[in-house]
Amino acid sequence: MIEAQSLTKRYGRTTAVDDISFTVRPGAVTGFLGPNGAGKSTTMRMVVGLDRPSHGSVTVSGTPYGRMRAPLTEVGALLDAKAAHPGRTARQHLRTLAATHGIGDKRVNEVIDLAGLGSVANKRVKGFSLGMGQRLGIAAALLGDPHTLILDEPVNGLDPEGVLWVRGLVKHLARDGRTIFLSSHLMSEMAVTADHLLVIGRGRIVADGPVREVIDRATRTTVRVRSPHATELAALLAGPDVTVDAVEPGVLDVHGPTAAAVGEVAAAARLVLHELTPVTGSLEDAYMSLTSDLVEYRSGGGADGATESAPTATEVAR
Amino acid sequence: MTATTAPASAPAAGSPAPARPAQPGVRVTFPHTVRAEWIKLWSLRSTYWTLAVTLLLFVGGSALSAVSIAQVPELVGDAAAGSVPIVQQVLMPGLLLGQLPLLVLAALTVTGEYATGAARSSFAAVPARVPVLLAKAVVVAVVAALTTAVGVAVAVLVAGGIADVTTPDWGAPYVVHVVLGVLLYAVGAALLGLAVGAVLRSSAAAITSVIGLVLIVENVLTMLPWEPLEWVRPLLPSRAGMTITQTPEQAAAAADMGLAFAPSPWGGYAILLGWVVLLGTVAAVRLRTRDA
Repeated sequence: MIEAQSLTKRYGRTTAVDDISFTVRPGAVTGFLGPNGAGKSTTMRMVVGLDRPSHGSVTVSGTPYGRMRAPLTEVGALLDAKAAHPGRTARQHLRTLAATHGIGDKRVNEVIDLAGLGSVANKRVKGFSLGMGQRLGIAAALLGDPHTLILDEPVNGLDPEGVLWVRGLVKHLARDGRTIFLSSHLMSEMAVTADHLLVIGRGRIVADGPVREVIDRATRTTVRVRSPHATELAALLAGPDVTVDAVEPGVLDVHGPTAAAVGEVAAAARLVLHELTPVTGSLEDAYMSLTSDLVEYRSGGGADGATESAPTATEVAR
Repeated sequence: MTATTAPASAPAAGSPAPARPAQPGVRVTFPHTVRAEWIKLWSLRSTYWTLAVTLLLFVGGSALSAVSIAQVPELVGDAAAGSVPIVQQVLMPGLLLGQLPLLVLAALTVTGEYATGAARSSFAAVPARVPVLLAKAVVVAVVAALTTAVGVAVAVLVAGGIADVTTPDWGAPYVVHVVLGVLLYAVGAALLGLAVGAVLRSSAAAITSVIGLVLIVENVLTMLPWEPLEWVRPLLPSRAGMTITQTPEQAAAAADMGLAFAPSPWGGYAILLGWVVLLGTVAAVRLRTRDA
């Protein structure tokens, strides 16, 4: 269990992580989704004490990482595929980490086999591909057989076989009752790997919930309506679950109700419609709408983030 | 009977048990951290290279000195065979040369980790961080002492073969002190290299600084005739540390050579260690407060 409270990280005047609170629960794969530079890596580095929070705190199983007596048995982390000295062999790198905890060579051999590093274990890290580096990082994370696993972009650079392996591994470990916290900037990867989703944009959590729910919520149906009576129609459609954006005079994007419902409202009020087009969002649209929100607000525009992605979605739908 | 029931309920009321039993003996301890640093040092080829060069320079420098004594016996004047002045004449050139790769090796044990990103792995494994630095100090001190001991032993044998008078007379006054002083200086110099590396975190900056300091800055400050420098010279780390290889009389005589005060052998060594502690403290504070 990872618990963050008001976690904040500032670098000079830049706020990388802005007052975020979240809980990552055991027994599930929690995806940490966000565009590059959203604060995923900084957050993960704070969990394992490499970066100090400017404000707030984060604990794993109730203990701050810095106070753990055997941190590798509590938390395994892959934060960077290049966290090994290139002059050492994979085995030597793992042995140095194991030695800090008095973990024996038997376990080192186990994680080498587990990560599929057998054939390169005695080669120097210098010649490793990004994928091999990732496997070595995952092997290092598993050394202490930890309760909690934190993996920053683990499938980055892996071949298709490696991607499948990571998916299977994290799901297996989650079923085992462990806490798995996995970051990615790829929505599609999260959709097949994660059970729970934490979406971060511009240093803030923009969505937190089961994967299906987050996607559904972010991909509400959008209906494009063209009508000479757009203003009257917008007033009639208004409701708690309905958002209406005036794209241009006479054109509305209606979020919430189905095209049929919009058509019925218009018919009941005897309003003429020139166009009524349902536009269904994709996973990527959901992701864009979630994460572009903050970008829009930051740049000073008043536009809702959803309008930003809607035209793209329309083009795709046509 | 109440006395037996009360303790029975006590464990249950205590803090919740961990989710799974801890792996026995698996935790971060200082000896474990030292062992990790030991493996780190010996798993890099650069270690073997630098130590080989250290030995080569140590033995080579001493052998050259022995050759010159053999050719020009007047160099040692009327000093008795195997006495302090002759032992110094033989060992000091080796020490002056051999310390340089040792300083580099010591600095690299820290800077090499920052350069490659391995520091992040190390500090994730040992989140207190400062023990990592202390463990490196232990390993560097042991390796510097052992390497110098081998260097001294071989240098003494080689020099003795070249010029018989250079074989140390272990019973003569201060000969043991001088030879142990050579070992101690090498350890102190290596720790200085480690501390500079820990403060600067960059291999190029650390190597340039520490070698520039020892080879150039200290010599320039020694030569400049500006009077206030008399107070600076006795505090120069390498120069002060070198007094541990001298007899108290030799150390005291240095007062005539532009020093405001002449540290004793142990006093001078304390100055060198003072620099190590000062720089090490700066590095430790940065380790505790900065991001890795």
